[in-house]
Amino acid sequence: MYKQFPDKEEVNILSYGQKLYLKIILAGEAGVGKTSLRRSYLGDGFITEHLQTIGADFASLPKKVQDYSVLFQIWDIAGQKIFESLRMLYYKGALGALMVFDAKKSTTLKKLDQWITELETGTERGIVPFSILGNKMDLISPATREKIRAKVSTYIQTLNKKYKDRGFKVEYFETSAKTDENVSNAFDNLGSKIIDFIQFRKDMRGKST
Amino acid sequence: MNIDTLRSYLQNNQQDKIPLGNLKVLHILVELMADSDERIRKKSSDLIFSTEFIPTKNIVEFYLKNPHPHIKQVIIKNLNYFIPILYEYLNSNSSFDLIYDIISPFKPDQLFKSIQESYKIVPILSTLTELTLRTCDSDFSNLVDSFITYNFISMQTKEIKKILSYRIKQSNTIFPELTLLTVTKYPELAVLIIKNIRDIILKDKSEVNIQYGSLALMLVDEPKNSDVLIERLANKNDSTETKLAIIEALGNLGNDNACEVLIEQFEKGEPLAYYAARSLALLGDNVLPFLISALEDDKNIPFIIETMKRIGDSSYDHLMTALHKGKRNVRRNAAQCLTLVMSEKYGYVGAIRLLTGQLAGKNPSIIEAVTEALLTLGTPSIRVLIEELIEDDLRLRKNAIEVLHYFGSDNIDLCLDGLLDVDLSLVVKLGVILYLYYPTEELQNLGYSFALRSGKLLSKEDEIFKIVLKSLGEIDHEIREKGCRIMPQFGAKAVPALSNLLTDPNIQVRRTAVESLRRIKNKRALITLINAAKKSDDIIAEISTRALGELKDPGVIDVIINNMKRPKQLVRDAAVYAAVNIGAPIAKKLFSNLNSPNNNLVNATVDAIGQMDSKVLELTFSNLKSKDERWFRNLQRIVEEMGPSAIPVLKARYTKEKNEKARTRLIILLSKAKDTSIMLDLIKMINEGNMKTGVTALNNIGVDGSKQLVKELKNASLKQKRTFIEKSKGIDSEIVINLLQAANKTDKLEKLTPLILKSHIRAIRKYCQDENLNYNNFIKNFQ
Repeated sequence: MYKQFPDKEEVNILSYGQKLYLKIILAGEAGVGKTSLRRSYLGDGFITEHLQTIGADFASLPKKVQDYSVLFQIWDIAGQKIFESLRMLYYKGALGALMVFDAKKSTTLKKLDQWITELETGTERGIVPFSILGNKMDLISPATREKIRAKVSTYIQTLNKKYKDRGFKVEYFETSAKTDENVSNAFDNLGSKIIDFIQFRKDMRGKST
Repeated sequence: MNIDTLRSYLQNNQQDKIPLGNLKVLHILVELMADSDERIRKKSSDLIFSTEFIPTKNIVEFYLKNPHPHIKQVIIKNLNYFIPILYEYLNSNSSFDLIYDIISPFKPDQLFKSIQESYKIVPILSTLTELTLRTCDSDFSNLVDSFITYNFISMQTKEIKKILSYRIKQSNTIFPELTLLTVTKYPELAVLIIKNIRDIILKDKSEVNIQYGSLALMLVDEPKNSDVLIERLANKNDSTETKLAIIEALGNLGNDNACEVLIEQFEKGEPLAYYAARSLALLGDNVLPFLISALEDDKNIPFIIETMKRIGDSSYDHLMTALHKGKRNVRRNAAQCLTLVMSEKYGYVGAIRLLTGQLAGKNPSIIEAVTEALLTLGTPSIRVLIEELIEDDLRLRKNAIEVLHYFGSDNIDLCLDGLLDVDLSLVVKLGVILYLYYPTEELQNLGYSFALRSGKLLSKEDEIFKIVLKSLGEIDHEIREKGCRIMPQFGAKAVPALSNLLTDPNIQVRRTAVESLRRIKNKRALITLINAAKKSDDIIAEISTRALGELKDPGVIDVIINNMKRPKQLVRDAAVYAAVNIGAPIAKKLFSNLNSPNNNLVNATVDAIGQMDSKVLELTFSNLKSKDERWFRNLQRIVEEMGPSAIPVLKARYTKEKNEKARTRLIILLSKAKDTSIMLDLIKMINEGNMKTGVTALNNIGVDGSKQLVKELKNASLKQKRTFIEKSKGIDSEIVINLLQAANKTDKLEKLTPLILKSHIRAIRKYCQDENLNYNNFIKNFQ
């Protein structure tokens, strides 16, 4: 008696179809360039007409990642610090995150720990795949870039040690929303990482069956 | 006494001659404080300050005309004497600079100390000076300690108003600023100059003044003052900081007229929008209709949420109205708001549940809006949607299924996977619901895979049991059937529910219920199954009987035997299956039924024992000599069923058996089991005259025993061979032909050929007939 599915024309709301909903969080201190990264990645072609913000900047983008049709739901919680009571809600159901710091401000790198902890507790599924993005690379010298790289490398080693059994590896991307350097790479890589993570979880479940 | 005389007294140290009680003398002494001779200046001032009545006013007035440094120093040194009169000079354009010049080097706490001293004698005047100082000295203005009190303000209203009005109108912006700062600390003061403050809000260019003014109006707490703030908020040139102050004041003043202008701030983004949200929340429920109207603009949503979250529960009704009656985008936004606003009180999941509750409605537009909101909220919605599948409202279920369908299996998998490490019971619960209630096999399997591992339910909490229990009462028989399948996981407590399902109108459900009872393997289940096996419903009887067999409980033997008599083959087959499972414990009783007049029972018994271990035959040995032929015939059928596996048991008994009848019957049984090793015994038996048994046994063994027969005959004497050939009439034609062929080939049997041809002519003829051979031609080969 419940087998009658709605006719597609009967419910015309879903341009989504059946896709994998990959909720991605853009996190990091205010002013590190998260919104610019999102814009740089999405360009003009992203869907906004359906889903505007609900307390966070939100945009969605259909993509093909590996063999999956996915709908990236990119939640930019930048500047939302004052909405403290709401913020933790944004993490719920997130499957991945880009942790952004400003290459010009070393304090924003130091603060990433807090954001990662927030991600870990907020998703309700524990830690999920994430990458670290050093943004605004266009504004720093090659020598500084090298220094930051060394610093982040050590940090990433610690993170990978911490999350070694979680089915993903933390990676570092040097990005510039202004020159588009590495922006697509960072998003696409995260998408792939999430798909691998999902597969990893399935395999783990398979093993325990 | 003139100035010269006084000067001369002072010069000659004749101060005792100076009449200090004379006011005129004192005034002259004041003048001498500015004398060219330092000693005179000092002596005159010392003398003045040695009196009880110090002419402070004269000193100040004289100083204003003749600002001699010595007088300044004297005032500084004896400031507490001057405090009560200073406010007058500080509040006058002509004297301000000189007087302020005197006090400016003082630190705020030093000044306050002087005020404190002076306050002991002239409290009101000292406090007026404190107030004045606060309006003209920025350091002093921030001083925490104060003598300004409500009483002071109410008693000195006129004077205070004069001071404040004078200050607030001064062109140097620092004074109005400090005045406003002062009135923000003592709101009762603000009331005295409310008109001035309102003017400043409307006309002033100083942003700081607007900010302090807004704060002052806020503290005065008269909602009617919102009008100037609303007007000012429209000023595009004001800084964000100023606007924030106005917005905050508007919120605190609680005038509904501010609703629109505050909502307009939403489009300006943070921080204005956020402050506007906070202020709107302070205005209370009256802003809700405005907020609902603002739902039309998507950009407003975060701030509407923020406002509504602060307002609380009363937002719910308005949002619901918007959800039901609003335009399309309003409905969509209302749905999202509803979740996020209500999450404050009910938690995220509780709020999503409020939203999914709307799926029970009929209005497709609402369902569309809710669906869209749920898709936006992502995988956390899935959990709630799955839980809705067990709701009694069938429309809600149907719509929840639809939304889940849009999410698709991958997202549902993701949702359940995400909960695995967090709340296993919840995952099992959701998995069970999906398995039971979702109509497609793919998601049923997905649910099953999350709920069970290696066939075992990963959590057996009461809540999950209740869900499965509920499923047994569903209208959809497929749900009931699946519920039955899960039930055994809960063991004995599932028995009553499953027992009830034995009368289910759907046969498949009844079957599954019995099957599940069987799987429970429990005494309570056993009793239910016994009763079920007795039921006239053949299907139930069949499944229950099979189940009883699998339980292998000897207590069920009678039921099983009884079902062997039933007219329906499927029930009898089930009884046979059950009996075979039970084995030896039932066999003895079954053997006693071999001479029963009920053919169904006999056949089922034969069938059952025939499939049991041959050792059960030992149970019959004591009866071999006594039981009737019918019984023995059926026993033979059993042995035949058992085949060679029965040989060791029978042979062992045969070797020991002394009773002739029993031995004869054993040899027949051995032949039925195709035991060729008895061949020599059979030859002897025939040769000794017991042809009937021997021939029967030989025929039972059949053609497969021919080789052994030939072998035994070869070893026999010629006489024995001939006797056997002559007396074994009646053996099957194929055995005869084998003997013939063997005799033809083997020298040791060669001489037997004519005898075989002669003695077994009927068997040979039958063979030729069966094989379509010409008898004469056939025997020619052997002649």
